[in-house]
Amino acid sequence: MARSSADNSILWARGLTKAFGQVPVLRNLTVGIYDGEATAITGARGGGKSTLLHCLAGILRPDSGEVWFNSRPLHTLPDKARARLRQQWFGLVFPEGQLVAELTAAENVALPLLFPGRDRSGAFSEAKAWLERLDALDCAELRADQLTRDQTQRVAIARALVTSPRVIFADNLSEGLCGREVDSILRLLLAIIRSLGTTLLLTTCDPRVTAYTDRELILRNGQMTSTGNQAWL
Amino acid sequence: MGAITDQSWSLRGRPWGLGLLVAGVAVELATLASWRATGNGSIIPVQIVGYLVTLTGWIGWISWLLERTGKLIRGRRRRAAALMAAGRLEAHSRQLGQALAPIAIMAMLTGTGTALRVLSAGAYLPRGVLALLASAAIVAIIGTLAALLHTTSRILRVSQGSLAALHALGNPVKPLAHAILASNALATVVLATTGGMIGVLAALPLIPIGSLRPAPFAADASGLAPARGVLFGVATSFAFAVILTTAVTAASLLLMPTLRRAADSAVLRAPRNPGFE
Repeated sequence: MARSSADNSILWARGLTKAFGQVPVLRNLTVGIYDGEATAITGARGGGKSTLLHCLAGILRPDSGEVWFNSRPLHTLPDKARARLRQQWFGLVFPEGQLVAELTAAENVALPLLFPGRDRSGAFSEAKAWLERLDALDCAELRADQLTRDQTQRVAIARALVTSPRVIFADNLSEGLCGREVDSILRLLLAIIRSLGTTLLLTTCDPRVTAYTDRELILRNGQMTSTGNQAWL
Repeated sequence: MGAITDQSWSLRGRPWGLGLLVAGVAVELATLASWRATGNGSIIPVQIVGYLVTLTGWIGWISWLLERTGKLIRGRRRRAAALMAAGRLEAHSRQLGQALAPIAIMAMLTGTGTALRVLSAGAYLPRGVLALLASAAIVAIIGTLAALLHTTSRILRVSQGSLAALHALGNPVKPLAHAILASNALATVVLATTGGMIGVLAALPLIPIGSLRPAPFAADASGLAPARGVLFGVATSFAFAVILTTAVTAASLLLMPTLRRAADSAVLRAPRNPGFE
């Protein structure tokens, strides 16, 4: 899956800088994420992996530098336009799942379809189809606060995939999961994104997760180094 | 696939508040019966107990009623904001009801004991019993406030992350705010309506009817006693309605900064790792 040219990048950033108060987190960072590839951003805890992921996903605006998705400049888009872009093209999975605790698993997965105005029955049948694909149909009617960590992440992945995004961003997906659960979830996720041609970008400190990806990018002192395919940098 | 992570949330709500509500009103009526039979006596301490039990019963009953309302709406609504509003109403009402259950049991026991004592010996209560009742009332009020604060803070903490995640997924803030406001508005309407009705019911013993005039109004020669009694009833109902609608509005206002912070990526991180990742 390795590519040799920046032209294949669906998402890329150049000269990215981000600080929280006086603490610099990203320093003049440049990175490219290839279309259809599974990429892991690794590095020390507190090294800025989540911040980079949020900048690339258009959740955070960088202090300086550029972020481009499919020829669209995320760094200059206003908040509403970035939100629309995320809704249309991106799927996000958070460390704790961050599901709506008051709703069932099926309702959580259906929400991203219901917000833009999709009909209820269609949204729910699609949500259940995704839950089945992620081996989580048995918990469709359980409220989010009744789910185990493993089930929560499966539902969160289904919620991210239900809108057929081009890029999935997963932040610390394996946190709190045992080795067997990580293997099971990643195997399923990778099979799905490969069949759909979706790009996957995840952050992790866990070498078990990195082993499943096509490329590992290491974030060190706010800058990127890479293993695997080094050609783009 | 493993254990349920938070069992207290999974317990179904029960209409225990209705029993307490009946007990509270029974205290009021028992006071009135004793009063009319003996013609004198200080009713205020017993009335306070009656109000406390009625208030607790009302909160418990209303939490069940709101939970059922939320469930009903949730099964029928098509829009995402309505679904979220109904889900919030159902889950939060259940949580608040469950948090108040232990205090309600204590209030119910105290109320029933007082009602029996009043029925057997009139409205006069020994000082020791009154002191005990006052202590129980203070403990119940402090316990109620602590339970409400704890549950509300827990709800806010959970809501912060999920709302921020929905915004991060590209959903605009407006429908999310509508969901919060809709659930709180519905809760406020139900609270104000039932609170007003129960307030009037609880104040009935103080409203002069015909020749039966409770002590505070019996010596009134101006002829304004019935009007004062009605005024008292309305004021009581108003106080009942205001207490929880204020709480609901406060909770709603507390969530608004959360929505404004929805774009703050720190909320999206795992609570176990609050530092930058």
